[in-house]
Parts: sequence; C-alpha cells; structure tokens
Amino acid sequence: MNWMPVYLSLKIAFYATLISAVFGVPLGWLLARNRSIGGNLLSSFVMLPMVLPPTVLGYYLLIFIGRQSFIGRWLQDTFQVNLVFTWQGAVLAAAIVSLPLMVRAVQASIESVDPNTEDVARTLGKTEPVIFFRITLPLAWQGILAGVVLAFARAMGEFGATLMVAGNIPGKTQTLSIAIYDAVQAGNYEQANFLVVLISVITIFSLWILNSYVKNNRW
Amino acid sequence: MLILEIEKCYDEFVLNTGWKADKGEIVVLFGPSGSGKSLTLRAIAGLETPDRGLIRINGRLVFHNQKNINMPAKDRSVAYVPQNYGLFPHMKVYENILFGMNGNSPERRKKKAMQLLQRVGLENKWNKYPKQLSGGEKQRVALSRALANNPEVLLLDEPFSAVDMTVRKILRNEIRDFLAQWQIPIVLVTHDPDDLDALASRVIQYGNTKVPVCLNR
Repeated sequence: MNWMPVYLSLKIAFYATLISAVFGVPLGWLLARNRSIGGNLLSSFVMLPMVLPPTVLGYYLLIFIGRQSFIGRWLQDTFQVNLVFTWQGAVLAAAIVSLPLMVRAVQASIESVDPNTEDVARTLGKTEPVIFFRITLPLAWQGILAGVVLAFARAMGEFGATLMVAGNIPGKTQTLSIAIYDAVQAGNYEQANFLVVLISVITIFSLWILNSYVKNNRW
Repeated sequence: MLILEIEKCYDEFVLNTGWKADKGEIVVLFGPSGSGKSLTLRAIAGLETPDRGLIRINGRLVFHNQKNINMPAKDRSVAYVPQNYGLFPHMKVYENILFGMNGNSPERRKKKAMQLLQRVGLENKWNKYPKQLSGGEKQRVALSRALANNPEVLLLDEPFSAVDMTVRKILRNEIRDFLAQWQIPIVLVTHDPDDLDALASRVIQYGNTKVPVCLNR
C-alpha cells in the first residue's frame, strides 16, 4: 500500500487548517460584531470559495500566484518561492477553500455570546483584548472548534482547486482524493478501496471526537 | 453625585432627559418599555454615546459633547448590572467576582471576594457555576461583582424581571437593605409600579414627555 498520499493530505490539511484559523477567527469576529455595508461586502467575498466551482477557484489562484503574475514574480524574486505544483500551493488552495467554513462557524458562535457579558466586563474596567481573550473566545470556543474540524475535513477532501494549483505529482502533491481518482482511472481498485476506507474513517473519527467534546462541555 | 443632561436621536425616537442622583439615593427610572430608560443607563455606563449633553460623576466630567469628552466605559467607575445579570457562564461564582477586581495581591482579592459572598449569604456557593444558581442567587452574585471595585455609581436594569412574583417581593426588601450599606448614587430601571414604593427615593418618569423632533440634526 502507498501511504504517501495519506501523509501528504494530513500535512496539507494541518497547515491549511492552521492558516484558515489564523485568518478565520479575526474575520469571524469582525463579521459578528460589524453589520455595516462594508461588513456585508466582506462577508460575501469571504463566502465566495464556497459557491465558486473549485476548478474556477484553482484557476484564479494559478493566475494570482503563477510566474506571470505580479505576486508570483515577487515571491520568486524575493523569497525564491514558487507555489505552483508544490505542496505549499496545495496548502494555499485548501486553506482558501476551507476558510468560509471556518469563518461561518466562528461568526455564528461569537454572535451567540451574550453581548451583556462583554458590556459588563467593559464597566468592570477591562480592555477590549482582555474581554476578547477571557470572555468572548472562551464562550465561543466550541463553535470555533467545530469550525476547525469542518475546515480540516474540507481540506482533507479538497480536490478541484488543489489539482489545478498543485497538479498530480505522486509523492509530491498527490493527495488522498487525487490519489483515489488516479487509482480508479488506472483500474487499481485495491489502492482505491484502501484510500476510500481510510479517508472515511479519518472523517468519521474527527466528527465523533467533535461531537463527544461538545456534548461534555455545555455551560 | 451623578448629574446628567443628555439627548440622543433615533429615526423615530428621541431620548431627552436630565436629572441628578445623590449619594445613597435610589433613583428609579420608571416608564413603559422603549421609552429610553435602559438607553440612559447605558449612556451613563459609557456603553452608548449620546448626541448632546453632559454626564458628571462626583465632579468628574465623563461625557461632554462640546468639550469632546467621552471617557470609555472601563475608566468611568460605574457598575452596571444588565437585565439578565450578564454573569460569565464559563466562570465559577468567585471567579465572576474576582474578574472585576483590580489591584491588591491575588490572595487579598480572593479574600475580599469571599467576604462579598458572605455578605450576601452565598459563601457556600462560591464554587458553583452561574447555571447552578437560582434567579435570586444570580442577582446577588451580579451585585457583589458590580460592587467589588467600590464603584462611584451603581446601575441596575430591571433587576427583578427574571424572577417570579413571590421571589420578587423578597428580593426587593433584600436589595433595599443591601444597597443601604453603599453610600453611592443608585439608578434603577423598571416598568413595575410595585418597585417604586419599595425602593425609590425619587422617581424619574419616562415616556410621557414626547419631544417630536431632534434639534440641529
């Protein structure tokens, strides 16, 4: 059995989830607390990856980070980094695709925090960062965790955008879902079955962990 | 002493009020819902910004629109107990009280928190979470937390709305005796006429002085 796609997928999903958490938590907070026109626009923009076909998204990414683009050239000249057809490129694609799930979950959980608690903390002399880290974040924690799990699962299963940006290079960018497609195309059903069962187990297991954690931690 | 004279305009509603509250006085803002009582409390606390006017606490100007003074809520030394008490559900009773306490060493803070709980007869509930408390107990925790920092003004928004009639009667007496120990201006919002007789040193009527337009809008 070839375990390489499993390892690659886990690595890519891990970094993609990290990136989408770093950007998704502040974005979700911003959208939960800001209902202006600007907030609406930002919200629509952040949600785009959820409605666009992944191949379209991948194509946009190719245009933005490819060597012909401004960003691609800048990355190449300053850091000698080329993202196209690398696992880092796959991380970027997976992070963008999973970002909306993260933002939605964070936004919903922060909206469910009683604003009275934050107001009371203000009158008790607390600064906004203290309020965020000691009141808002702990109270929204479960929703954020749900966002992390969903984002991870989405990143694990990412196919279209990853294929466009990172290609299908065995041992380098061939992730689980791409390897499954590849195995079926090649008639290698033994490998396909193995990978399909594995990805199903990983996904079900992470959802089970999430559910049991959330059940045990309700205020 | 608390002095205010404020105006705030909304599309179909104008809040325009002015009054003062002395030390040890319980001023009750009385009127139907939507007449701007809670809004007044939030403006005093610094959680809402009036369009015009001034708010003065013990000689300190905390808000003055012409002088561009608008002190943030955290610096006003105003304690605020919202309608549902706003207890932090993820913190135990004593942690709720500790959260608001500034200065001193951690041991002394903890000691003071326990003293405050003793004062309201909740010392044996220090280790409970808010959801494990009754409505009256929650209120007492919220009051202790609000008063832990020796605030200069105490604001109570509909303090009895979350409890039933019988408990309400008991709580009214309890709260009156408790508040008598604190010689600070107390502002209480209610729409229940029974609260007036039981608690009010003075009543400010809301909702029957309609100001149809906002000046200088």
